Amino acid sequence: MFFLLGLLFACLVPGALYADAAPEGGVSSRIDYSIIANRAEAQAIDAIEQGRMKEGLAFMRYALDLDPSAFRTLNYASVLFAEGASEFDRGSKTLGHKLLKEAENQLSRAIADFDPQEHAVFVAHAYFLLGEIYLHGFSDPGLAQDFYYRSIQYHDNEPSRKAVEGIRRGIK
Amino acid sequence: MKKIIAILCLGVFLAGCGKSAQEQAGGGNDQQRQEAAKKLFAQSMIFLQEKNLKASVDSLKASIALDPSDPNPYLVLGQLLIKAEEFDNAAQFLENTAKTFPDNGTVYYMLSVANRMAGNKLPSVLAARRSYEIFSAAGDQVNARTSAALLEEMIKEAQAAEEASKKASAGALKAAEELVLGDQKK
Repeated sequence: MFFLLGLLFACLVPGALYADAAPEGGVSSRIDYSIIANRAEAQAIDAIEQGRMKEGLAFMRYALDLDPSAFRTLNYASVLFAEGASEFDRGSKTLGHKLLKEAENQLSRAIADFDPQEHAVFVAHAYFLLGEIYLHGFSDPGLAQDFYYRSIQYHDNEPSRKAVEGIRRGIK
Repeated sequence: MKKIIAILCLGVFLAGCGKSAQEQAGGGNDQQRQEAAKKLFAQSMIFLQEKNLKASVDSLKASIALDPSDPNPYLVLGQLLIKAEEFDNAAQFLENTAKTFPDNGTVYYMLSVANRMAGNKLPSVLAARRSYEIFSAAGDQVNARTSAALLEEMIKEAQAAEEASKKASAGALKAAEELVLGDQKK
């Protein structure tokens, strides 16, 4: 079990359930679907907690399509990461790789969408997950270390520090 | 696209038929039906993710038929109708849904959105206000703020439209005056 799944679920952003729920005033043609996106995300978390990952992912994807905030993107990426890790553990390398690649795409999108000052903790977590993906999924400790360093630059991310120490000692 | 719209429109006729669907499904174990309906709803999400809209809508309809007391499949069907730009059908569908769930703020919020998109200003404002009232009464400040923001947007839109109308009227009046004055000078 090389992935820190427990940590992952602890890091699901509860605040994301309400992210962007109160838009600033002003005339806008964009429909604010955050109310039903929040419901869908709550159902996703419920499904995931009950071990129904595929359903959880589908609910998360729906929520993200309705209301593509950085928080939701990070949550979706986190679940993709967890599911990709599980597939690796189950020996389904191809599917695991595909899910991790999608998690990587979503993490990059989340990092681009977050305000790096205001949401440094979340940016750091996103870089940490990228490090995990590259270290354990794509077997690239060099690039993984780079992501862990970036994570630490944004916030004192303990798991990233430990991962860097592990790489230095040659431990995965 | 027409096929998709036709499928979605079928969903419209299902709304408001909750009781008869319940009666049709009656006799079975309520809890089992609710569980099966939840599974169908979750399956509809998976179909959506796979971009299989027809299968998703079928699952949503089946979920509603099994358990008409869960508002979630109705909300997703309503949202899909709006996404398909079937605004009148969406408004009608959600209007019926609101009758089934008169105390659900999210249903009224979606009804407001559908009416707004359909150009039904007054029903849209009334539904947003109802949504705000329900969320506020439930102490759900986050969703109440979202409903209030929708209401505020619509008020601003109405003010902007009124302003534009006033300007257009003033312009027309001025043009008419110039025309009359010009005729008198002649």
